[in-house]
Amino acid sequence: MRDSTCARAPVPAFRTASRGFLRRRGRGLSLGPALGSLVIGALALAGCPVIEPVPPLLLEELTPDRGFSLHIEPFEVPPGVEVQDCFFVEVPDINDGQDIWVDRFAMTQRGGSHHMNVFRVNSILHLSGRPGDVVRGGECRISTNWSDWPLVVNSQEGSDEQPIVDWTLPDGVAQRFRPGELLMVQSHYVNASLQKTPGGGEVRINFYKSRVASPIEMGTLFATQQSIRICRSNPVVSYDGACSFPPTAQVHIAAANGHFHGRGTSLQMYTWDGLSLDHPGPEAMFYESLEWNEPPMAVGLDEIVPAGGGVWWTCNYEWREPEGGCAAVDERDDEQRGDCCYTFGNSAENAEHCNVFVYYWPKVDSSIFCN
Amino acid sequence: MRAKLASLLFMLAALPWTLAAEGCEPEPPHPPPPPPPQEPVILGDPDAEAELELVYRTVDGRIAVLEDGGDVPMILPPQGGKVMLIGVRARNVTQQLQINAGIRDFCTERFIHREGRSVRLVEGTPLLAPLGGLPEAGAPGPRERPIDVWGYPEFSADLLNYANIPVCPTFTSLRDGDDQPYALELRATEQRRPGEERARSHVLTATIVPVCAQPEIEEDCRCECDADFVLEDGQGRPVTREQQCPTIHENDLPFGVCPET
Repeated sequence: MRDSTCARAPVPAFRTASRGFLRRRGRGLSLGPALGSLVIGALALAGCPVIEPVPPLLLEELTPDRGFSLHIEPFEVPPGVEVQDCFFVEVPDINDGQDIWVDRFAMTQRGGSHHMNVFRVNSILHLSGRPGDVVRGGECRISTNWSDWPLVVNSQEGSDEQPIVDWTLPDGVAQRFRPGELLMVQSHYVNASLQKTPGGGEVRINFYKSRVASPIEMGTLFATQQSIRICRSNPVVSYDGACSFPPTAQVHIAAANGHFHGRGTSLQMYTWDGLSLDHPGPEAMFYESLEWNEPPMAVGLDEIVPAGGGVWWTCNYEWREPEGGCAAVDERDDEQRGDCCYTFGNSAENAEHCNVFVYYWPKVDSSIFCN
Repeated sequence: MRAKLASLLFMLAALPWTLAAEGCEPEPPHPPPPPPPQEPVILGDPDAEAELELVYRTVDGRIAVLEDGGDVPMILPPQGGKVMLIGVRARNVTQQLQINAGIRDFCTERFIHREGRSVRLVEGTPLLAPLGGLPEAGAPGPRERPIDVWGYPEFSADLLNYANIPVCPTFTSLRDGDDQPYALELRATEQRRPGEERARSHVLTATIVPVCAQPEIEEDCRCECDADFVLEDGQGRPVTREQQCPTIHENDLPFGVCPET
């Protein structure tokens, strides 16, 4: 896999595009006051080529009285490349300095998207940015850099058939945003043998303002298991974890999705009472994904977590021969055993994941960090 | 000559388009099926009673036998936070085990975290010595080896063959994650042996005290493990380490004492 550095992009037929609605404020890009729109000119600013012609990725532009819109402009995803970039954006002040409550998200991405995650920026290790900054590859691929950054929302839909994920939160429930709060939007596109991105990448997200006077705050839970290994000599393995809520919390799970790569056969999530190490029964299962490349986003859930309990997840894998042979897989393996072992990593082609995204309410006092 | 050069130039000019055009790429070959499951390898005597003991990975990547009531070091894993690496040494069991381990808060009787995974043991590794992984080619197979040798987690320095039990930060426990006693429980389930309807399962328990043991991150670890550690305040504003760590230990509870609720 090559990195996403645009200077290496071997497609001279592309032209550099510059969209008219890009606005610079200070060091970065910020809110367009007329449209309430955050616009990130991802590659255009860096002088990188953008694919032309680009069919429009349609999502309405929100005016400040309805919310705010975020747009990552079209960018190139050349053949044989995985692009993972981190875009830093500032929550606009559309509420006279008051917090903004959001009770609906609409997200759309061009076909081929592997994932798109939005986090609230917290502890800074080696990844940071000011509003409008973009970090391409590099530290944007190192997950320890955002391990304690609370999840806002994510989408793994990247199909042309169902381009928009339109998620309305449960009645009276909303996420809180502060004007000026720094968010990081992470976009991962793959254009290789397992996933194709024929038309380049692009992301649009709409954050719709809640009309409820005193909404219940939604919280999120993001978990990732990184010590995983799927080897030729031990082809069928599973990894699972669990994460608990504070003992006094009584939470409802409203939505969930999971993330694994091509060797994953299934990912399940269960409510867990926290009392036993026994695997929860099928009646406790609230999410299952059997599709690594288009995992479902379960919404409309109302799973009540037993007090003092939490969420249990299981990722199941079956080793398979890499499309391009074992060399690239072996090269990533720290143990260098020559056993064609897939280990945790960003590359959808040569590495694996076991990630869990859970949306619940009411939010507990601090974001839940599951490691 | 000129015609050949023009042809070559044309081919070079067309190459990017060829690469970019989705329809021109050959269909990827259908991957072959994975190898069939192997019959389980038994470490030691298949007819003898299974013996298992809890072990943990030390900060420097070695293995130590876990003592009831003893300290267990926490490390910084790639995913962040602090975890204990708990495994087993065993004999007369299948080489491949599914382990499932968690720690329980004595004050609430609830598990604060747990983790499960497939692990592989290898025989004949001396205690507290770095492991070398699988036997070298030509070395005697497991059946020929002395049966008083334990099987230890393969790749002792790696995190893969231990349960990675998260401890810090914890938003579930009422006490600090470090320097307080917790109940450890580990279940090890063997591969199903031929002729058996159910796989054999073994339960191991101990009281342990997680400790911050990596010198370079000890202060950060102790702050992150405090029961009062938060990522955000009640209004959703991030709370940094600088803001909370200097005073976070002021109300720490004595060892083994539960808070009043």
